Amino acid sequence: MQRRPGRLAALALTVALSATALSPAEQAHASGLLVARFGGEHGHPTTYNLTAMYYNPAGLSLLGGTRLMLDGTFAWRSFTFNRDPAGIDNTLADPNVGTGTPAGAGVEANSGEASLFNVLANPFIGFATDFGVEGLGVGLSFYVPIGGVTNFDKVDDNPDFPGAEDGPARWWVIEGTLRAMYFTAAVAYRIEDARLSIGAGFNLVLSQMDTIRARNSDGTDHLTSNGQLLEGRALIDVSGLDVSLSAGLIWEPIDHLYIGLSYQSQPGFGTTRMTGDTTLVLGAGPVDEVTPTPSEFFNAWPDVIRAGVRYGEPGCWEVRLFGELARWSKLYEQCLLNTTIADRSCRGNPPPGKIVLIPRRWEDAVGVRVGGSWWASEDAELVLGLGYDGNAVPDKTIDPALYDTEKYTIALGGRFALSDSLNLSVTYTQVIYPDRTVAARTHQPGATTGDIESLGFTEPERSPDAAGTYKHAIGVLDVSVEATF
Amino acid sequence: MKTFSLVSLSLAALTTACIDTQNRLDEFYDRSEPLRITVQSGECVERLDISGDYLLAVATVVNPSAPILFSADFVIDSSTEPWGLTVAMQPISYTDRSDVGAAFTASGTIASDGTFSLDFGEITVLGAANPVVPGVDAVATLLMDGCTNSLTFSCGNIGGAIIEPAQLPLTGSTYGAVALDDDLATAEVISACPVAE
Repeated sequence: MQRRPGRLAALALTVALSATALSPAEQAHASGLLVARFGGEHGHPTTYNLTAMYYNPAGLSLLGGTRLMLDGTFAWRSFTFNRDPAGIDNTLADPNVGTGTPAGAGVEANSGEASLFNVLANPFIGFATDFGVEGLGVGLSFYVPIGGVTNFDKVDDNPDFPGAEDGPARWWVIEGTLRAMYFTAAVAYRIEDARLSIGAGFNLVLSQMDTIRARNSDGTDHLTSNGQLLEGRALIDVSGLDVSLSAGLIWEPIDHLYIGLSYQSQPGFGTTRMTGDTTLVLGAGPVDEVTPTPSEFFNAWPDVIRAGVRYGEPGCWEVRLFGELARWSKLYEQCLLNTTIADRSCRGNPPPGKIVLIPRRWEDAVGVRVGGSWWASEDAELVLGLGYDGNAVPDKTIDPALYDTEKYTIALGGRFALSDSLNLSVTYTQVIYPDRTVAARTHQPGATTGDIESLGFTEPERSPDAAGTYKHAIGVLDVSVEATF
Repeated sequence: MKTFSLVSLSLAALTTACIDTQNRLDEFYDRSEPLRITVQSGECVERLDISGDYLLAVATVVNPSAPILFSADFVIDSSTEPWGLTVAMQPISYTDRSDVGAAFTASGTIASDGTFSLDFGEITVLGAANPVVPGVDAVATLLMDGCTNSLTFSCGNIGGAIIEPAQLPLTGSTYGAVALDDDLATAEVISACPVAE
C-alpha cells in the first residue's frame, strides 16, 4: 500500500460520518447480553478478517491464503445498583413478629448500594484457509459472543442478617456467569462474475450458567420470620450443548464498496436446555443435610440479523456503517425445573416441577455503529468508531443480574503491519451508559408483597423488586494478531 | 463428548473473571451458622392417652410462618406395653381447611416418658394444602418426634426431607397438635412447642 494524497481530507470525511452515529432513532433498542467486540472496529458484517465467522461468514472469502487470528478482548466493568428501600416486600415494625424485613438494620441489610468492578478476558481464536482455491475460505474458530460474568463486592457484615454481606443485589446475583461459547466451522465462496460472496457457518454452542443468589421459597425478599432466619441461597450450575447455523452474503457492486447481510440463528433454534444441579438452602435449618436437586434450565438466546456497508480507497481511507437486530423477544422467561419430576413443565399455574421461574419479557434490540479508517502510513491504519445500542430489558423485569439499557460507544484504535505476514490490531472502546432509575412496585393495602399481578406476572414468577438506580460503565481493549501463511 | 467438554472447560477458563460460587455458598453457611436451628427435644415427662381429633400444624423450616395444616386422628392403645400409637393425618386446605388429597398414617409406640417417633414414609401434600409454595404439590419423607404434652396437646420436631419440588431437608421443622373441642375451621393453629420462659 502506498501513501496517497488527500489523506487528511479522507480523515475528515471519516470523522464526519462517524459522528452521525450519535443520532440514533428514538425507538432503537439494545442488545441485551450480546458482548461480541472481537475484531474491534473490523468486527462487522462486511469484514474480511476471521471474525467474519461470527459476523458474516461470507467474509471468509474476501482474503485468500491461510490465516490465523488470535484476539483478546479485555474489559473492565464498573456497575452499581442502589436498591430502593421502597422495593422491599414487607417491612416489619417488630423484628420478632411477622415475616419480612425488620425496620432499621434489616432494611439497611436489604437495600442500598451494591457495586462491582470486574476485569474480564474473552478470546477469539480463528483459523482459515483457501486450500489454494481462489475465492474459497474455510475456517474454524472459538469465541464467546453472548453472556458475561458478574461478581459483586461484599459489603459490611451484619451478624443478625447473615445474607447482608453479599450486598443488596444478592436476590438476583451474588456472583455467577451466564454465557454461550461458540465453536464454529464456516465456509464461504466468492462468485467472481457476480462479485458476490456466499458463506455459511455451523456452530456448536456450549451454554453455561453457574450462579448463586439469595432465594426464598416464595420468591420474596423476606429476611426473617418471627425473628428466625428465613433468607436462603440458590446455587445453580448447569450447562448444555446446542447447534446453530449462520449464513451471509457480501456483494461488491463496484470496486471497494461492500454490502453485507447475515443471519445468526438462535442456539438450539429456540429454547435451549441446560442440565445440572441446583443447591437450595431455604430457612434456618441445619445445612449439613443439604443435597443438590437434579435440574434443567430453559433459556433462549436471540437470533441476530446484521447488515452493513463499507466503502473506501484501500490503503487510504474507508468508512463503515453497520447494524444489528437482536431478537431478544425470544427471551420470555427463564425456567428451572426439577428433573426428577416426570410431568415437569414451565407452563401452568403453578408449573409442575418448578424450582425457579424468572419472567424476562425482553424486547428486540437494534444497534448501529459507524466508523472509519485512515491510513497514516502504509503500515498504520487508524480507526474510529461510534455506536449506539438500545435496551432489551423492560423496567418490569430489570435486575442487576442481566442488566441492560441504552448505551453509546466510542472506539479508537489502529491496525499495524508488523511484517508482510503479521498484523497487530489494538482498539479501545468506551461504552457509555446513561444512569437508569426504576420505580418500586406498588403495594396493595395490607399486602406483604409487592404487586406483580398488575405487571402481568403470576405468583410462581415472583422475584424480589429490583427497583433502584443503576450506574454502569464498560471499557473494552481489543488486541488481535493476524498472521498469514 | 468428554474430550469436547474438557476442551470447552479449558477455553471457558480464558473467558472468565474469577468466580467461585460454591465458596460464596460456604461463606453464607459459616455466617448463618449461629442463627441456624439446633434441634432439641423438649422435655417430656408423662405418658398420656391423647386419643382424639386434632388440628395438627407443621411449621417447615423453609417458611415457618406458613404452616401446613392437617386434620389428625391420634389413636392410642394403652392395653399393651409400651403403648401403641397410630396417627392418621389428612392434609387440609390452608384457605378453608377442607380435605385435600389422601390421608397418610404411621404407627409406633409411646415410651414411658410420653415420647414417640413416627415414620410416615413418603407423603404427598397437594398444592391446595401447601401454603409454603402455594399451589405446588410437595412430596416429602416425614418423620415425627413428639410428646404427649397434655391430654389436649402434642408437639415436637419434624424431620425428613422435601423431595419435590426440590430437595430440601426438613430438619428444624416443628409441629403442634391441638385437640378439637369444636369446629376444625376455627381451631387455633399452634405449630411448635411453647418456648420455655
